[in-house]
Amino acid sequence: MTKNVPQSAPALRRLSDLLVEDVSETSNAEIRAEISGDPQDYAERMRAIFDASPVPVNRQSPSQFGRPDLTAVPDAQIVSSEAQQSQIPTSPVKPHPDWYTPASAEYTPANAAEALLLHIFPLERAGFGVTGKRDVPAISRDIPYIQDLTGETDFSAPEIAQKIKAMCDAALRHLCAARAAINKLCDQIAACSASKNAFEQDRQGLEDRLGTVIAHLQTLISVFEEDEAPVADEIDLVRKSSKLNDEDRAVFLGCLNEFQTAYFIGTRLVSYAYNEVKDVQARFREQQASADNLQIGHIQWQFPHLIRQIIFIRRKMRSAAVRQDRSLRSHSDASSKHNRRAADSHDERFRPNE
Amino acid sequence: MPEDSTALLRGNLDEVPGDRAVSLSRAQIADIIRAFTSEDWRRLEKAANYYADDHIAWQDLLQSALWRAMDEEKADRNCPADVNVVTFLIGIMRSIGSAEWAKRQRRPIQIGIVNHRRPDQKAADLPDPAMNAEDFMVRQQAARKVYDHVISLFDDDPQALAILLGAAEGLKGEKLRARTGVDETTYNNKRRLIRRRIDAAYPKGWRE
Repeated sequence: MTKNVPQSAPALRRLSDLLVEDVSETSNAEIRAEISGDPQDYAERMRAIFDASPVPVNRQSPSQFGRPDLTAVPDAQIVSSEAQQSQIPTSPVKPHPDWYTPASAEYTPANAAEALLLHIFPLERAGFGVTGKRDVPAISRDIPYIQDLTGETDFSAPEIAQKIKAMCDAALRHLCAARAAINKLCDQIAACSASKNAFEQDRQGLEDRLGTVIAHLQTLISVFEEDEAPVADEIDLVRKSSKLNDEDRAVFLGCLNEFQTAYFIGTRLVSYAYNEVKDVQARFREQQASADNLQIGHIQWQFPHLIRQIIFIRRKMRSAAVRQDRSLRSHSDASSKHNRRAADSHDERFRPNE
Repeated sequence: MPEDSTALLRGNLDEVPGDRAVSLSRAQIADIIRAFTSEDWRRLEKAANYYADDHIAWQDLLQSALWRAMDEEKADRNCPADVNVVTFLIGIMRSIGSAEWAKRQRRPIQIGIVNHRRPDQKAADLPDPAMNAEDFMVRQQAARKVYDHVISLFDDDPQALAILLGAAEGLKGEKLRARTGVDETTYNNKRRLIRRRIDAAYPKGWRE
């Protein structure tokens, strides 16, 4: 290459503009030809990305497009840092029956997490014992019930199902706890705005609570990290099982999809948490702008780090989902011709958005 | 108001005082997105793939763009009524992609956070996700490898290669055509050729 060649990474980004320009002007017929499978299914899968957005876009009034006020959480829902562990919900969280109606003003961390999950996943499949009210993405539609798996084989698919459920359950609990800690933090900031002295006196409390938020998000990582390896091992065992008949194999493919969907949920949960923490950061900035003399710089500097951590979690979960996707595809490749037909048909229905 | 309406009907947006009057509301954008055809979604997916990279997945990029377009509190740009919402979303994705790329150029400081109840343990001490010098060099080499390969795809077509190199330098539209000396028809044909070849070689964006 000549010495005048631009730096490669920026050059590729500029080339993207040229390609996108062409995509925008390409005819519908040519674009449609690139869509494999049913265009309607494809559009539904893509729309699921929109529906999975943390923004409650399903609400009718434009004025309600913003997220709920974090400080509106009732005191009873706020978990103190001392009693936090004992108040983490241990049973499946029940959704608010009117969550999706504009009249619903109640907002709790549990409801928020539940609403998020309802956006993207039929919860009865993850064992939460509730029914999703909204359309669910194609990725998780019609998955065979893993509880139905029976037979004398050398693997334990119900155990896999249990692990998947535990992952979802734990992720939800930790998210609730993290949200509660974030809410408490917001309350502290609001209270401190009235008095510089109070802020100074409770600086330690703010730092403690920030640490709690991070600890819970970190636990969220560990939940996925620790459970991923053994579950992946079991899936590998199942895949290699010689006793796997066609029926079991079809159910097993369902297990793989459940597992993949669990990571999909995890990604969205962390994405949601990330947005919440960004809100907290914005509130800190407001506080700083309104009270220049407050010595809050030593707390504020921690937020960029916190956000980087959450980006790290999200990236990790995303790559885990990609790995599971590859696992699913490699399984399809390795199947017999007969099984491949069944797997392809199944895979086609559950193929993620790509 | 009647004058505003007339101007809108004529499509002469310059005559409408104030930008807000000609911007789509969040609800209107939401309705349009819900009515997207599969072709619209495919265009968005392709654009997301071009602007995504190893650091941000195309799904995240697309969802972030949808969110930014919809969130009333955080929305920092309006969609003019005469702009296609697909184009609007592609613009947001480009903006997010550029911002992410720019952020990665600034190496953040690694800071541990102390758990005051247990000072012997840090509440959080995760690996720094930012690139170190070695990672940076690896990334640069990977980008160079892709770039060189893309260039080599057009060894047999000097006009396409000239357009490609011009675009890589940041030239667009009229300036790019003037630099490469091709007429508009040829430019459009070559641009399509470039897109198809790159699509075939990199169906998921700039990832091998």
